Amino acid sequence: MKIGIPRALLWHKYGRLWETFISELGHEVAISNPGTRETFESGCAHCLDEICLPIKSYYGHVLELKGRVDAIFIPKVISVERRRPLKSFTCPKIIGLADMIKASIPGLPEIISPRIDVNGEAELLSFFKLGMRLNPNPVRVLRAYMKAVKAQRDHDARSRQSERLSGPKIGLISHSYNLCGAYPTPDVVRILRKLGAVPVTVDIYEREELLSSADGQFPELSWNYEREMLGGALRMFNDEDMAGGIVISNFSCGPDSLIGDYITRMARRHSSIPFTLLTIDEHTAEAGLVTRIEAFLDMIEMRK
Amino acid sequence: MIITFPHFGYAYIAFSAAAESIGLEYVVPEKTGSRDIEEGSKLSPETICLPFKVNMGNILNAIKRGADTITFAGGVGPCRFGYYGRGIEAILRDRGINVKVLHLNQRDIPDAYRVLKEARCPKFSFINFVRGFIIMWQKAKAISQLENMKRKSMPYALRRSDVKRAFEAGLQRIDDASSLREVLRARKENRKSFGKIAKDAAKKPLKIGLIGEIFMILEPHVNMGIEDKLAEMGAEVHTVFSLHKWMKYIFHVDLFGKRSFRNLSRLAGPYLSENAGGESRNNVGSAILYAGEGYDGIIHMYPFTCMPGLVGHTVLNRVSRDLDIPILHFSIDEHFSEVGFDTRLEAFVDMLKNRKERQNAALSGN
Repeated sequence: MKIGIPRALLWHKYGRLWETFISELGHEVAISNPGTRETFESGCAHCLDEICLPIKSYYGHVLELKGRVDAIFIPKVISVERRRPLKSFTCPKIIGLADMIKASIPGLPEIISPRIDVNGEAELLSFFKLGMRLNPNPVRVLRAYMKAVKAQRDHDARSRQSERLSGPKIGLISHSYNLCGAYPTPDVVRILRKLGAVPVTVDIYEREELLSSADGQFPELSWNYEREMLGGALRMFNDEDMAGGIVISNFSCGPDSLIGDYITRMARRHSSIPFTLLTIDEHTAEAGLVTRIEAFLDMIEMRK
Repeated sequence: MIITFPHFGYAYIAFSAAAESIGLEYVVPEKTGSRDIEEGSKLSPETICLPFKVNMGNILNAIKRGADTITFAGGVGPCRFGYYGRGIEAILRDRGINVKVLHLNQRDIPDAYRVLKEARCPKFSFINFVRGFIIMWQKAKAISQLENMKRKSMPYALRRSDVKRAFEAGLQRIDDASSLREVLRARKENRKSFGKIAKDAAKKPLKIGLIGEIFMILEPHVNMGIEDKLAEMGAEVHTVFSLHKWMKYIFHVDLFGKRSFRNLSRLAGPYLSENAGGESRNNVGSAILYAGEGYDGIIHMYPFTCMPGLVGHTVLNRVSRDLDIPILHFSIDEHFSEVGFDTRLEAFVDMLKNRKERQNAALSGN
């Protein structure tokens, strides 16, 4: 069977895991082509106009796959972190994504949407259930899962190796899909490099350290990715290596509307380095973004 | 210590009864008005949902009137509502307004008990806490019952002013009741006064289901008085949401009957398999229920950028197509114009009337 995976949203974080797992079970994997204006616009035509940019982009990738694959892989990622008895969620739109796609795009092939709820069920078990549907050989499923986890870990380690550039280090605080630089998301990483800065993400810190500092500041927070962002920002406030921090948020992103604002408020109170908030959507012109980042870097230069 | 709480429909009646019974001094913010929305929006993050901005406005108003402690009954779910308390606390601190925020978790009564105990209210005791809870529950039930009676009588009443008067008097009666016995008596009297209203039972109004985000549905200023407007146009409105229903849902006792949230979630299953927060599943479930019960149309209201609302909207488009029931969606923020709202509402009701006439003609023609 030929299984398509949309190159959008959480693919940027777990793509290697999913790809390797499915192909190890003897299925052909087709990743949708990198986003273009045409696919993006076709996606916009099928979804609500006030929904956030990553979801619109996801629609485009699904439409691009439709018709050339036998099934599309759209997991329901409910939580990615075990916090019981506390709650843990990704985001309502990610949770409802598969149902939204099914409701709004007619003539879809089969949708494979395993339920991944790490807070309720071990990830291994969720993948085992999915694997048994794709290839009913338990040994092969387990081996595929192990290989997939390793492939993802290797990929993460490789992308974490910095290019040892000199220049002011700028912390980027955002979701993985906002930093990927794939159309239609503006490529902030490239812009920063071009302007002579070194972009770093919160991945440079220990995850446990980030999450515990987020817990200390905002104990109720249960959105997994926002916890990483808040923890990363709190850690950056006192990191002397850093020259500044940029929070990148999507217009109409629910969690960011609260946490992005919260981070910039905390920064004003506690941070020794400057912080700024950039909001992006499909109308963001790169020239305007470059101007704002330039101004931010100039300001950092002048503070010295 | 003088506490306050933001408005949530007529919930202030129930909340202030609870505060009274544990001996807390409290201030009720003025009834939500355009001024609150404007003031609240100035301080709030730009793209946060409307209820946050309205709550912010209410709280600013209450602080002006002397409140120094804010109680916030958040929950923890995938929707933003659970984090309003922290967000408002951070914003007020940045403004140099020093107030205490008591974070009460809706779903965690022992935790709420602890927070209130630590707040050192003069009359606080376990007995008074339980008493406060019971009277709050009963008042919520009385308010929700009153709202339902109003919805049922409006389209049939010969004079709508009678209904409005009975409703206002009923609210006052519930607010004045200071003991459990008096609340029960107020409920009885409310039923009686609604029974006396002259009605024309032969009327056949349009039946419209109102679904969406619970705050938008229960707060009459924020939803621009949609229920009264629909009643003026001669439609009967039904909604499954009420303060009492919400409390029942939170404490896991809303289990029975076809309008229970449990059943609505079950109904929504084929369209929305996961709980995407807020009322998304209940909304989809109610829409399916209304379609099955022969309602003429559905109105779905949610705040602009509401995450569960957007998931719900997308899925409801499919429900509308599959079950052949018209759904009008309103995504509302502080810039929403009432004139545009009225026009859309009128057009929708006109369309429903035509549709009904056509269906009736087709039926009698055969």
